[in-house]
Amino acid sequence: MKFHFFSKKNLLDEMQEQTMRKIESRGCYVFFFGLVAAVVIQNMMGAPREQFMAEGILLTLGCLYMLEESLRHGLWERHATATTGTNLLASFVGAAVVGGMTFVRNGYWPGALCSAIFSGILCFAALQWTMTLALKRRKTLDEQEEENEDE
Amino acid sequence: MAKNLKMKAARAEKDMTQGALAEAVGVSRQTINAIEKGEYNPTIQLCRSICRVLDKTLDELFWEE
Repeated sequence: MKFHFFSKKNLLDEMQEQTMRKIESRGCYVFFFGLVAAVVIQNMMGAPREQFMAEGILLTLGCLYMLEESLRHGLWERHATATTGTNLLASFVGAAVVGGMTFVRNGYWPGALCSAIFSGILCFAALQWTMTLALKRRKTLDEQEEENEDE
Repeated sequence: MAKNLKMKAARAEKDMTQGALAEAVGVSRQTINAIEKGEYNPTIQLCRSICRVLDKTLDELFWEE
């Protein structure tokens, strides 16, 4: 009796593959936001950093992977436009979240305000930089396709 | 997406079941059913395979007026 446990060939057809990818994508979001929630809740509850370091590292690695791949393919956000205004708004939201979390954790508003301001500046700088890289990459890819068509 | 009645008719003309067509083009019956019901938009490769098996052109099966 011969057992077949694994096949190098994809056993799913194109529709099943598409459905599987959608499921995996949703699952990925569940894991991602689950990790974010785990880190945020533990941080707010005043847990020592060592306790949620593994989650933090995993989250950072996942984010770095997604960032690198998106930049490599010249992709930016699906719905938000790639503009300075959008980045400003996103940085403001990020700053408000960090400020709020710091205030809940320490109960000291000047410290929370400082951390919010610096997080906002850092977030804005990172968004502007990555947006510029993504748009530059997109332009390079568009030009490459044009050259191939001419050949 | 509208139902693909042309494909259903062409399959009936050939006296093929959804399962037989699925096997001939190498996909699941579920996929053929979804295409006929207009729930799935197949790739051009799959459209071509279906046309080849049903002896129809792409226009005859997949062109919407």
